[in-house]
Parts: sequence; structure tokens; C-alpha cells
Amino acid sequence: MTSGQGEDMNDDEDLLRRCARGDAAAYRELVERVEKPLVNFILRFVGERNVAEDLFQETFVRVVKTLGSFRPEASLTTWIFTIARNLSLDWLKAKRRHREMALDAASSEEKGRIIYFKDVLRSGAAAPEDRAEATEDERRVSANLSKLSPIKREALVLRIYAGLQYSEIARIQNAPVGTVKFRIHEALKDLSQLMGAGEDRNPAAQGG
Amino acid sequence: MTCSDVRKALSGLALGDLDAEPAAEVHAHLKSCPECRAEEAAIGRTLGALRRAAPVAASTERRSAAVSAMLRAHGDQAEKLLVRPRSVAWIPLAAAAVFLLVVVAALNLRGGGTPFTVATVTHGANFRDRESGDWRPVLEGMTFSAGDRLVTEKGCKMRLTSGTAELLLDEETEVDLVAPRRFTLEAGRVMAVAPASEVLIISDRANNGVRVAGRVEVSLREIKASVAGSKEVKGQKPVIPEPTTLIKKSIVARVEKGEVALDGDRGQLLRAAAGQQGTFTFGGKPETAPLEDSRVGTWADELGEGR
Repeated sequence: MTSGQGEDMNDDEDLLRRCARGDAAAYRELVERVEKPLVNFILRFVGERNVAEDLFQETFVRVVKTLGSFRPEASLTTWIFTIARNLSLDWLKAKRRHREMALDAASSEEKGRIIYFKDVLRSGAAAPEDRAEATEDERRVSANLSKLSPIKREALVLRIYAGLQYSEIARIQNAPVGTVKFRIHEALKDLSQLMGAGEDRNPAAQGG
Repeated sequence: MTCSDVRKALSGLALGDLDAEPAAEVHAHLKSCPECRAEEAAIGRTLGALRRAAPVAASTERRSAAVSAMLRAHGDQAEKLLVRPRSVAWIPLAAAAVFLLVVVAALNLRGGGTPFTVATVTHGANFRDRESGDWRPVLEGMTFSAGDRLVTEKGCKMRLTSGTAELLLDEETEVDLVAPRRFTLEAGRVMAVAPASEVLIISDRANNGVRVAGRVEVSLREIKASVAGSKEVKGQKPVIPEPTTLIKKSIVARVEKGEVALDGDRGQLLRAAAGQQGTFTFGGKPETAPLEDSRVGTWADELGEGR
């Protein structure tokens, strides 16, 4: 186990060194390593496919620009997900600000309102219901995920879609491992209740 | 275990986070409690739906776009190195020139860059075949681009051209073409000849790099560092390990014409002009000194590149 982690660290270091030299093959290896979980994580975070694709590219541009700040105590994967998470949060905040400006123009009562971080997350995670290719599962999951508390949702998404270890999520969320486990368990329980409630309502809605 | 305890533990059970003992207790309770079983099934369905609902598949286009964006970002950072401060009267012209350079560089990077063509090769040079990984002989007229690796054997020299830039390889030299206009020197020495508009970048494995705008010989030297000190762990006696020596191969750039920007592995920058040589310390700090011998790269004369 320990030697495996050691090998991972060596792999990371070697890959990082090659990336720092501008090695195209190393860039490709890095992108391939995290592509699917990362793009799905960002999509779950921001809720819009085009934005998720843009933020995916931007994450790797940021990786190149900040290679020097990587600290080997975190894994490369954790570091990349942290960058993606921060970019996603910035985008959600900007989106919220944009919305606030529009509201301000419409109503002076809105002026001076404090924007809370949790609201930023909630507003940004709109369900991608307008996508034609969305499956039924995806529609239900997206709709109900957005109702979870942001911090629980993030922990669950990092576990399920990014496949990160609890210790890696703990590092990203800056919380103890036990807290992260609790958040994920609670998130799954809450989501199950939300989806169960949806199933209960659907037949009635169809019948009425 | 009560129903309340079990329901708190069901998510952990579904995610495989429960230890064997509590998991066995939960399973025992589930056998006799239909309400908790229904709850367990609902959590299982939710987890299944979550796992099935990864909407975005892997895509070659996405990966290629990301790699291109990374190469552009790397190129943009590198481009900043050779931009010198100019007098105010030159600013509009310089800004236009930089803009054009960036556009040209971006186009080059997007398309994989202009490949290098083998203009001259004496006997015994090989390249690594990308598909099979085998080494094959290099012939005049062949072209190479990012991802290719070239080696010259004893007695062999090679001249590569790309636009007006040239790279000359001495015998027993190995280079890795890692990006358009960027090489890693693995062994031996090269002569880089490049105008300011088509700079060549050569780096070593320690991640020190030189950006060549002129005529510059780039070779490797071994640099050493002694590592010594004590390890202290709270509550234990300090341990003093034997000093160890670390060795790196680091670049030496000898500038005959033009200049090079020296880019240390931690981002330290310095410029070496004609008549100087640039080196790096073990910590990646660039240094310059006057050339001891002003004859640079006479070994390359027989390859007949335009001086």
C-alpha cells in the first residue's frame, strides 16, 4: 500500500516535470487521467454543459500557469480538482453578480442585498433539463442534487463522479475526513428521500 | 440496533464505508424489518441512478482541445521572456509586432507547428517510431514534429531546418521534440540558429530552459549538490544521516550571436548576450560569464549552415 502510494507520487513527479517542460505527450497523459470524472464533476457543479466544457479547458490552462505552486503533499488529481472547483465557484459567483445587476436595474429594493455563498451555489446548480440528450436518471438526479446543501452536494459529487478518496475530498473541502464521510452519507440519504418523494408525486401528477 | 440507528447507517452501508461488525448488525436488523429494508432499497436505487447519470462521455476532441490550450498557455508564458523594454516611440510598433508574433505562434501551436526537416545527415542517426516504439534510421528529407525523439550515433551529425531556424546535432546527441520549436536535450550537444521571430527553446531534464534568438551552442554538464542535515522527530533523538550527493545534467548555452533568455526551473530569468555563456546552479538559478573560448560550435561547420 505504502509503496503503491510512493509509486503514485513518483509518477506524479515525473509527469509534472515533463509538463513543466511543455511536453505535449505529458499534457495528454494528464488530461486523459482525469478527463471523464473532471468534466462530470464540473458539470454537476455549474449545471451547464457549454460552461463545463469551457471550465474544463480553463482548468488545464490554469494547471500550466501554476505548475510551480503544486505541492507534492497533495496528489496531482486532488490539485486539479481543487483548481476546477475554484474556477467553478468563480464562475457561479460571476453569474450571480450578473443576475444581481439585472435585478438591481429592475428594482431598487434589491440594492445593497448581501450575496451569500450558499445562495451562489444553489442558484448556479440549475438542472440541465433543457438538454435533449439528458436521460431520465440524469434529469431526476440533476433536479434533486440541486436541492441538497451545497457542501453536501460537493462532497457527494466528488465521491461519486470524481471517484476521489475521502482523504482527498477532505483536503479539497478543508475538513476532517469524518466530517466529509458524514456529509456524503447525509447527502445520499437526503437525495434518496427527495427522489422517493418525486416518485410518489409523479403518478398523481400524471393521473391528474 | 434500533430502526433509527440502522437508518443512519444505511448510506454508509451502501457506499461500503461500514466496518464488518456494524455492517453485520445492520444486515441482521434488515432481515427482520421491512420498513428499514424499503429504506435500504431506496438508497440503493438512488445510488444506482447517481452512478448511471454521468452524462458526459470521454471525447478525443475535448482532450485535444485541452492539450492545445495547454501548449498555447505554455507558449504564451515562454513568449514573455524575450520581450525587451523599448523606448516610448517604439511602443505602438512593438505592440503590433508582439501581436503578430502571438498570432503566428498561436497558429503554429494550434496546427502542431512547422515540422523540422532533415536537411543533412551523415551516417547513423535514428528516430523512434511513434506507433511501434522501434528505432528507425533517419533519412534526408524526413520531417519531425512534437512527440519525436532523435539520436545521432558516434561519427554522425545532423542538420534540421524549420523555416529560417536550424538545429544542428553533434555526434552522440539525443533530443526530444516536446512541442513545436521546443526540444529537450537528453545527451550530447546542439547548435541552435534562430531569428528573433522564430526562437527555439531547449531545456534539460532538470527543467532549466534557454530560448535562443541568435546562434548558440547548447550542451550539458553535470552539476552536483551535497545534501546534509539532521532529521528531528518530536520525542526522539535527532538522527544525522550520511551526507548524500545529488547529480543533475544541466544546460550550458554558449552564445556566438544574438542572445538567449535563461529560464531557471523555478522561473528565475536572466539574459546572456553574444560572447557570454549561460549556466544554471543546482537550484535552477541562471548565471552568466564571459566565454573562455570565442570559437563556438566549430564542430558544426561541416554541416554548412548559414552563419
